[in-house]
Amino acid sequence: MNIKKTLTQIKNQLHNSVDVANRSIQKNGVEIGFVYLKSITDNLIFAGSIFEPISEYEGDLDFSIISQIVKANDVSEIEKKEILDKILDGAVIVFLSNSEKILSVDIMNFNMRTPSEPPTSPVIMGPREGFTEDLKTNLSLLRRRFHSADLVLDSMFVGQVTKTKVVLAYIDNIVDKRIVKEIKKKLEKIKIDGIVDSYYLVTLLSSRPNSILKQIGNAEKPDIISAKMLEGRIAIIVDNSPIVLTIPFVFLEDLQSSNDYYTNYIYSTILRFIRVVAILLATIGPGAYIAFQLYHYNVLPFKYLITIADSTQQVPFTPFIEILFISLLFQILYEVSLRLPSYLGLATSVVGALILGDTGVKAGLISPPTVIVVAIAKIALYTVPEQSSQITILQYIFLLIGASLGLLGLIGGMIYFLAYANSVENYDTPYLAPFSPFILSDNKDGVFKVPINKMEIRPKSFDNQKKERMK
Amino acid sequence: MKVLDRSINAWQLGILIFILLFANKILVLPSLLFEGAKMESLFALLFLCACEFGLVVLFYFAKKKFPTQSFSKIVREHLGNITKIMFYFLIMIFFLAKAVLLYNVTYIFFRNLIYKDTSNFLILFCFLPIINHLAICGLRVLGRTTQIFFPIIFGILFFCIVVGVFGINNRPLFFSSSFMSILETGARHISPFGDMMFLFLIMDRVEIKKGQWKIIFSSTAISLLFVFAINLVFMLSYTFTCFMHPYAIFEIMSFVKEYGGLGRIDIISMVLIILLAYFHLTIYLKCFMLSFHEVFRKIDMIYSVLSFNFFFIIIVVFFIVNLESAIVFGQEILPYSIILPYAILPIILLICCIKNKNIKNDNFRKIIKNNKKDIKNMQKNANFNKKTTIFSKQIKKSIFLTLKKTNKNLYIFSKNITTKFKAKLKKVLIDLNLINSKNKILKLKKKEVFDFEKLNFKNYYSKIFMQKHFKICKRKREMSEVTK
Repeated sequence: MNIKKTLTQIKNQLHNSVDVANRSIQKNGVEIGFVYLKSITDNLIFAGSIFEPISEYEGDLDFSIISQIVKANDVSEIEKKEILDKILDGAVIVFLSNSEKILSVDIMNFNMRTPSEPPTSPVIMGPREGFTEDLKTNLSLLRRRFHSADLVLDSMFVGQVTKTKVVLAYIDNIVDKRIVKEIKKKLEKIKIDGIVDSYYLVTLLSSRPNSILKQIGNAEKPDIISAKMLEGRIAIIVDNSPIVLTIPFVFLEDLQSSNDYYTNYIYSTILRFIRVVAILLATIGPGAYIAFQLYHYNVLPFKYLITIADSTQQVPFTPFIEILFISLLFQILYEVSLRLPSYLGLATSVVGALILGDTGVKAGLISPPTVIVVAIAKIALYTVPEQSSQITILQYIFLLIGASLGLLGLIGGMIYFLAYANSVENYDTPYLAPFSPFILSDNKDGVFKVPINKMEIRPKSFDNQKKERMK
Repeated sequence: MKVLDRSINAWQLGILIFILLFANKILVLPSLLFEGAKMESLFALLFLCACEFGLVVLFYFAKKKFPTQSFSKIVREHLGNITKIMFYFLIMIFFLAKAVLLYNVTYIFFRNLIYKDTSNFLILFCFLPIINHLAICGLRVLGRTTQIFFPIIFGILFFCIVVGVFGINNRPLFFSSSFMSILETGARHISPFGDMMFLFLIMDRVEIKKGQWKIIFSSTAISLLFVFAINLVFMLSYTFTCFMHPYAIFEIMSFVKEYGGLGRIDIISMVLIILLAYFHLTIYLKCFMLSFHEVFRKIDMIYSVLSFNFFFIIIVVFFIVNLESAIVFGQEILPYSIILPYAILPIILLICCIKNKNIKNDNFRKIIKNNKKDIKNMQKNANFNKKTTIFSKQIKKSIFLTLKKTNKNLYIFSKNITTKFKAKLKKVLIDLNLINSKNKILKLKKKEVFDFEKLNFKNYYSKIFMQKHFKICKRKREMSEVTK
C-alpha cells in the first residue's frame, strides 16, 4: 500500500480540515501511516497506546503483530469503504506499506459533562443523575439499572449528513414487538439531512405531526426512563441529546412526577389532584374569568360583583384587552428571564413585578383582580412543565372563546378539545387513557396513586407482552 | 373530511343512555306536565319512563337475537329494501325534529337567563361546530368524551336533586286531576320520549360482553330515576307557581336559602344544561347521520352532516323562533312521531323475529371481496384433503374464522352454527393459546398454526381463507374435543 498517497487521499476526502492528523513512520523498512481526527480522539492515548508500542517494537512489523502490540480495547480490521466512518467515529486508522489490510483502533475521547441533576426534573428524594449528551454515558446509565439480558439496545443511523446514532432501548420480553417494528420502520423512512437533537424525531415519529398535542414522551432522568421501559414503553436515545424519548405516550404521564414514587402515596395523590386543578386553572381560568365578567355577571355573588366593579371602573381598557395585555407582559418577562444571564434575572423580576405590575395597578391601567387571575393561571401552568407550551396555547384560545362566546363557548371549546384529544391514537394508544377509555387498573397510578405493592399489573392503555408485574 | 366510526363498549353505551335520557325532560317538561295534570302528572311521567325503559329491554332482546347484525340489515333482509329506506327516512326526520325541539328550548333558556337578547346565530355558532366535530369524530370519540364528563354530569345532577330537596315547601296534593286529564297530559307531552331508539341505530357498533347488560339496565334505571326525582322536587317546590317557572332544573337551584352563603349556586345547573345540550344535539346528529346513510347509501356520510345543518338552521331561524312555537311544535306535531319508536319499531322487530332469517355478515362479504385475488391464486394451487373427519360429520356446518386487523380480535363468523359450538371452538382456541378469554389474538400476528384441514368446510372461500391465515395444527387431541 502506498502510505503517502492513501493519507493524502483521506485528507482530501475530509477537505483538509484543521483537525485531521496524519503521520507516517519508517520502521525496519516498513512504512506505517496513521490518520485520525485530533478533535475527537485522545492524543495522549494515541501516543502511549498506539504510537509508542509500534515505534519501540524491535522485530519485523506486519499486520498481525501491530494488532497485538497496540494497547487498546477496540481494535479491528476494516475495509476501505469504512475508513471515513471510523475516522469520524473517533478511531485511529493504521496502514502498513507491506499489507493491504487496514487497522482501526477506537480511542474516541472528547470533553463531555458528567451526569448531573437535570434542571427540568429535580427531586427532593430519589436519584439525581440525568442523561448527558454522550450516547455511551446514557447507555451505561440504563445498563446499570437492568442486570438483565432482556434489555435490548438496537441502534441505527438517522440523517444523511449528520448520521446521528439513534438507539432504541426496550425490554424484550415486555415490549410489544409490533410497536418496535413500527418505530423502526418510521425511522428508516426518515430522509432528513440531520438530527441535531432528539426533538427533531418528535415530529417525525408522531402520527399527527401538526397536532397541538404532545404525542411522544420525554425525560432527562434514567430512573424515569427505566420505569417507563418496565411498563412496556420503548426509549429512543439520540446521540448528542440529553432528552430521551418514550413511545407510546399518554397524557397521564405528564401528570406523574418522579417525586411521586419516592414519597408517601397519599401525599402523591394530593399532589396529583393539585396538578389537575392547576391544569384546569391554567387552561380555562382567564377565559372563565372574562366570560363571567362580560356575560354572566348576574350569576356572580353580589359582594364579589361589587369588588370587581369597583376595581375595574377606572380601567380604560376592555376586560379582554386588559387580560391579554397582562398575559403578554408575563410572556415577555418569561422570555427575557430565559435569555438573560442569571445575575440579571433579579433585575427583570423587580422591573416586571414591582414597576410594571404595581405601578400599572396604581395608575389605573390594569385592575388587581385581573392581575391575580393571570398570575394564578401563569403560576399554575408550571405545575406540569412538560405541558406548559400546549397549555399556554390553549389558554389564549380559551381566553378568546370566553371573551367572545361566554360560558357556552367555553364549555363547547372544552368538549371540542377533549373530543379532539380522544381522537388521537398514537401507536394505537388512546391519548387520554386511562380516563377515557376508563381503565380501572391503570387508574391505580392515575390521579389516585396506590402503593407500589398494589400495582400488580402493567398499564393496559397500550399493548405489552406481560401484563403481570408482581406476584 | 372522513367520518370515523368505531365501536363502543358497554360502559360508554351506558353513559350515552344516561345522558340522552335527560334530553327535553328536565327543563320545560316538568312545568308543562304540572300544568296539565297537577301532581297526578307524575303517574303519566312514570308510565312514559317505563315505556322508555321498555325500548331498552327491546334492544336487549334484539341484540340477543341478532348479536352482530346491524338493525338496517335486519330490516332489509326481512322486510325489503324499500321498507328499510322508508323506515330510516322517518327516523331521520324524527331525530331532526327532536334536535330542533331541544335546541329551541335551550336557546330560549339561554336568551332569557344568560345571554340577554342574544341572536339565534350566535348560539348556533356555538353549537353547530362542536356537535359537527363530535359527530364526525365518531361514536367511539363521542363515547370517550362523555366518559370524561360523566362524573361532572352525574355529580351536578345529584347535587341539584339534594339541594332541591332543601327548597321543598309544599306537600304533595293528589286527587286534583281526572284520569282522562292524566292520559291527555301524557299523550300531549310524549314528544321528549322515544330517544332510546338510537340504540337500534348503533346496534352493530356496540360491544356488550356477557354480564355487562346490567350496566345498560342500571344506567337506564338511574337516569330515569333522576328524571323522576327532578320532576318531583320541582313540583313540590313550586306547587302553586309552576307556570311561572319554566326551567325546572335551573329553578330548583335558584332560591335555596340553606346555601345562601355560597352565593348563586344556580350556575352549577347552568353548566349542566349547557353540557347536556351539547351531548344531546350530538347524539341526535349522529342518529340523523346513521339513518341518512341508510337512506342514501351511495352518498358520502359527510353530506348527512351538511344536510342536517342546512335543515336545522332553516327550521330554527325561520319556523320555530320562540318558546311558544317550540312548545306548540313539541305538543302538536312531534307527538305523532312517537309512533315510530313505540309502534313501528316493535312491530318490525316482531316480524323479524318471526321470520328469523339467517343473515350473512357484512364483514364476511368484505373479507371475501378484499381477498378475491388471493383466493383465485390459491384456488389454482390448492390441494385439499377431502377425507371427512369425525368433526365434519358431526358439525356439517360451515365455519369461518378470520383475523380482523384493526383491533386484533378474533371473530367467529358462521352459518347456522350454534352458540354452544362457538363456545367449544373458543375453548379450543384458548387451549391452543391462540386467543385469550376476551377473544384477543395472542399468537396470530404472523401466519399461525391452526387445524383447518380437519374442518370440512362447505364454504369453499372460507376454506381457502383459512388456509391463508392458518397452518396445520399438530395437536389433534384438542381439536377432537370440539367434536365431543
